[in-house]
Amino acid sequence: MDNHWAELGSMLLQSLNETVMMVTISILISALVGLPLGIILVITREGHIAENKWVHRLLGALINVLRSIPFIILMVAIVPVTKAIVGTTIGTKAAIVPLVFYAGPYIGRLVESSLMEVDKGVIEAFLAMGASPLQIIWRVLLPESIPSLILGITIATVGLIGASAMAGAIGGGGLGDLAIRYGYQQFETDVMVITVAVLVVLVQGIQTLGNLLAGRLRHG
Amino acid sequence: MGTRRKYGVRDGLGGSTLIEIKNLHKVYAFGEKQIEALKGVNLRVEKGAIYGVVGSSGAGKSSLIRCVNLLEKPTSGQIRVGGLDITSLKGAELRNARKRIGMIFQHFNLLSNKTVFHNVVVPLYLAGVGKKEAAQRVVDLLHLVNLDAKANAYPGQLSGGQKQRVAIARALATNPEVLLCDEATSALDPQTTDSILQLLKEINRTLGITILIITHEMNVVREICDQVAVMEDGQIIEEGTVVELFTMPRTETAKAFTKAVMGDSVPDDLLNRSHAGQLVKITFLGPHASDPILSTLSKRFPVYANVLHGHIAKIKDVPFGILVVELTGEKDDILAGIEFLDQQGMKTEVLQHG
Repeated sequence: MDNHWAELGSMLLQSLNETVMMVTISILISALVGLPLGIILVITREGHIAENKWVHRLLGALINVLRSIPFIILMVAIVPVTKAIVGTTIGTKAAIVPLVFYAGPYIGRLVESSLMEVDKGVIEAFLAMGASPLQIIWRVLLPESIPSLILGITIATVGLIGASAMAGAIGGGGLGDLAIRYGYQQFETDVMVITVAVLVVLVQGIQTLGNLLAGRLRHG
Repeated sequence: MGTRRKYGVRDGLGGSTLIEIKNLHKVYAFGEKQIEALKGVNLRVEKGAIYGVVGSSGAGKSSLIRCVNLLEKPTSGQIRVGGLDITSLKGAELRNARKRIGMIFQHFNLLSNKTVFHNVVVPLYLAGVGKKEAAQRVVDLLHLVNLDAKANAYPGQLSGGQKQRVAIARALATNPEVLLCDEATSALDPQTTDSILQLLKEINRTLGITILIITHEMNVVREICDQVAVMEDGQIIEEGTVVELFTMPRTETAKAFTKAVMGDSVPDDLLNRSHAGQLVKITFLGPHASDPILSTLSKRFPVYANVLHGHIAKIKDVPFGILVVELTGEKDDILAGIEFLDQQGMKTEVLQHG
């Protein structure tokens, strides 16, 4: 019996470690991709600082296409891309590629909606003081929407935890993988329950942290 | 005050034109529908002046002021600021020109997540001023707008008037030649409006900065402007010194605007009643406002003056008043008396013959 719990404990720890790794690396890369996407989506809008109808439409359509593919299909569909980038199609590293394709465009949309909230008057005030589009992005759009951006990243992180569970299907490992392999396929209900409990705590923790940080940075 | 003050042209600054707007048109297109917001506006603002553009909402005044720094691109026409043709500028040249033109807004438009200090220092960073020098400049600017103690506050913790002071400090940071005020007091209560206007007046006086104000509040024009233009339906329908506007409004719109502030309308019952003498409205201005003019009149002519209605106010810092008096006496004496008043620089209007 003791052996069973010790084994479960070490499996859980390893899976947690894999999930955290997958999600952390994916969210960082996704944010790096999604932030510029969101910024471009906003500033190319009609009447904004770098209005460009075609760029806006094209980018919007591309994001919609990526976002409409179910993750489980996306994962399989981009296998060649995954192989080209990380050299393998299985394992935690391989799972990161589809996760970024999933979360990047999602964050793009979240960033877009955050930046849209920025008061047009403030942008105008900066135009009036001779700020360039880059300066407006850096000095107005991003600082003014930081709390909202943090909440967006929090939402995306929670979403990634869910998606990373599915990544277990291509041998990505992680908590979701553990729950499915032992809990579901081998009828070890206690493994399933504990795994889900760990996921709940993880999600709660991330959301609380996000809310706290956003609240602290919001002054408006 | 022995000599008459010449309005609009300030002593020592000469009479050079700083802002010149020529035949400005602005058409907004909403799909098929086109709205002509500006229909050939011409305007000259002298260096060092405080120039007001007054009009109802939808008159085009907001489009006008936003064209001056090209926040709004004119459909046609020319705008020169300090000799520079703004309308021809693009990119970096336009951005550099904008650094010489400060602007404040109705809703202040401050960065809500940044402190007062940061809000004021930003234009200095944009202009490439070093950190240390910029910080010192912010201290001076906050002192100028009387917000020394608020450097670390966030806009959300300030009152409307304080926010506008921050916006003024920010607009002045790069030492602009012009300050554009887009309904800058319209979101403020009357007392706060007054304090902001006093600040603008002080800035104009001490820094010599030229101010262009658009407003729907005639009160603002009366308090601080030298020159004024009345706008209606995309055009300037009347223009002149503020004193001229208040004492001799020509258009109906101008009359309505001045009346709203001065309350100079003569009560109806006064006109409806019959009077023994002649009912005369006397408008007086400036140095004459304090002269014992009616006593002089009665001493010189066998005419009695009975004051029925009166109102005194200040236009900028010049007293301005309206009196409705009933003059009794011989007809010829009354006529001579009125002529005497005219010669003294009063404006007289006979409302009712006795």
